[in-house]
Amino acid sequence: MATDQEPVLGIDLGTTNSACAVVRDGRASVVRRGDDRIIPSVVAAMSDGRWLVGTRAKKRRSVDPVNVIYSSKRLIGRRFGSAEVQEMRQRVPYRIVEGKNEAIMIEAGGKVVSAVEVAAHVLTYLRQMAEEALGRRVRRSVIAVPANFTDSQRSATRIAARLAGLDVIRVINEPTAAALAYGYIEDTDRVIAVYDFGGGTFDVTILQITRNVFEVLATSGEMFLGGDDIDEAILGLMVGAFEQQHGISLRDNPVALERLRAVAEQVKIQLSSQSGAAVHVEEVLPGQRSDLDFSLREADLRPYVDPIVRRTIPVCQDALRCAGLSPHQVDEIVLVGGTTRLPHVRSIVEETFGKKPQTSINPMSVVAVGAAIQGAALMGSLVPMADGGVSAPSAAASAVLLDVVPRSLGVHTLGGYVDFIIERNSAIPLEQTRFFTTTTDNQRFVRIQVCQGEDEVFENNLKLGELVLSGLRDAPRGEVTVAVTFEINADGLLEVRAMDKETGQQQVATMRVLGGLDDQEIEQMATRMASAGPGPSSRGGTVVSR
Amino acid sequence: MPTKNELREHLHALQAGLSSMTYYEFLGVRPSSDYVAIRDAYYDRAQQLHPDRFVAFGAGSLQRSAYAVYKRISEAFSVLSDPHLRVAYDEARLGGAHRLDDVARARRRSPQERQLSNNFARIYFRAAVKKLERGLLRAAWIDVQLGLSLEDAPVLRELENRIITHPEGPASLQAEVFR
Repeated sequence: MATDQEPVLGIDLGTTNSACAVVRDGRASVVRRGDDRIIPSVVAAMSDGRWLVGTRAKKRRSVDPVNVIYSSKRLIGRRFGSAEVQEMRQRVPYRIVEGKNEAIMIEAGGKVVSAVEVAAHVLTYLRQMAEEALGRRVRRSVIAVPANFTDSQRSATRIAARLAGLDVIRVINEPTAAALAYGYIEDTDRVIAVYDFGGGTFDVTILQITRNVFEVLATSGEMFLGGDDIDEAILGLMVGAFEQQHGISLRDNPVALERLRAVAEQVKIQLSSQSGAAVHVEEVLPGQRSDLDFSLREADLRPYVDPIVRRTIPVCQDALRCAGLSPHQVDEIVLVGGTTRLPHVRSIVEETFGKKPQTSINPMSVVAVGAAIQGAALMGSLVPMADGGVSAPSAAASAVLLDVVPRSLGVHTLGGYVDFIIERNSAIPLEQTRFFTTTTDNQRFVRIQVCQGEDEVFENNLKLGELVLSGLRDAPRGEVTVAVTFEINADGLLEVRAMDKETGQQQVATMRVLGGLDDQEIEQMATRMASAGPGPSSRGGTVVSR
Repeated sequence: MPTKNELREHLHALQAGLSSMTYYEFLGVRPSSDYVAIRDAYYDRAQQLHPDRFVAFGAGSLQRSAYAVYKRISEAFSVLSDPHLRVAYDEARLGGAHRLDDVARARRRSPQERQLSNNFARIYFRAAVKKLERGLLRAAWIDVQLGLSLEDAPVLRELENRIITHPEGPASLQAEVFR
């Protein structure tokens, strides 16, 4: 294998934190900047037009909450009107507004940016971090997304990567990446549960691996359940301690609360590896004698954490039920997400599945590592050698992953029902053709509504968009039949093309993706990103935008 | 592992066969091969010819060929691994077809069938529903049990319940079930 081959960056763009990894000399390693391996997925707009990303942006939360954008992964690729987005509007201090075509826009620092742009800022930061660490340019990447991401969310993530100057060679499911990091890709068939307890979300995915085919049997989750809830519990204890020490309640002091929340997170992290933690916070109320001394033992935290962690149990049971499996049929449990480092979380996992989870790889970076391994496998497969043969890659590098469609794809039919075109769990890439006939004389176009989901009723599924076939020839109704081919490519993205059945003439088929961005908007974002300069790297230090 | 040239030849042979080769020929199995043989052949082909194998060559004609060939491999497997579609295909083949047409391949599943993910559990479910309609309660019950052994799904449980509580259900079946 050529040693000077450009490395492929494996990216985990998380709701709360992000990480990236590369494979070099056959070994996967997490990219770091100083001691930082995990980058908060936070972007802050400064009043002077600059953008901050990562830890520095996160620190702005306590001083300038309205201009600090976090959890933007919850918004990407969704429609403004969706329940999730409306819920987010209630929860976050920054302003989420409606853009063109039901797109989601965010107002911060006197600018309006799309959720895609926010993700692009984080991805740019990761790319530059990798370039600094590797001392070379990085373009190619494999990016991981949740197994339940829809077509729109996958496309939006891809656009963000493109804006960040990354060429995405594959979009991979996060649980698949985690399983790959553990090397579960031999000939033995296995069922793996990926328990992903992150900062703000909880997901459990049941994967079946049969001869390198990664099949998502079921995925289930809680949109708002994560390490943040545990920070909140610790914060409550800290506020109580402060009140005891100083007789002052902090409940109505958002600045102090936000500052202590960051300390609470540190306490949680300490308690993930130690049996006790003690902190001293100076001047909780600036200018007053109000130092806080706080100590907590892991054992004493358990009763507070327990009800939060137990909420993951029914989610696991739901996923198992959907997969048609009982807990003992799960061969391995893989942990993902920082919250799984808490000893109590691990014991609940063991209790739920009846066996110990895998813990040898850092759950904060396991997805990035898996994505990097997939990238290396993609580039390393079949590297021609001088003798006309191919290099003999290791077992993991030689395997090809066969992914499946996570959700069925269908079109709207009479009466508001769905005609399913591609069934879930079909192996990709694949294509399926359907015929549509005109219903009126001289009909010039056919409009087809496309959705993803499993419900028979169209409205209960996620509407992806509308497909308009135009330029049909004049003919009595029923005489023009258009063959529409729905193709799911190797990244799980939908492509549509249409053809007049009689004349064999290619028709124009444009899919208007709801909440999506058109080329012009992407162009504008690219311009904004480019004018934002080299990004918030340590070289440039800061960025100027517009 | 085949050499690059062998692989290229294999790929081109299959590409040339896109308009004439049967699904069996495409997967390199016999029309009499059983499910396991077909599945194994599919996995072997997938490992060798998946478009991912050609990513390192860049977006060239080799990758496009691999993509076209691979889609047919998936199609062949999806038809041959589904007993109903395989029967339909074998009939079409007698009429000279090398491929099952789009309309036949796009067989609609009932809403209940769609709730099952195991192919064979779905077949047992369908068989049980038909037998129940014809009043063959005992046979239907056996099919449901076979389905449940593959996938413990609510739709199969509901059907089981319908059979057990059927007004014309023979007492013997009920006794057996509740024993």
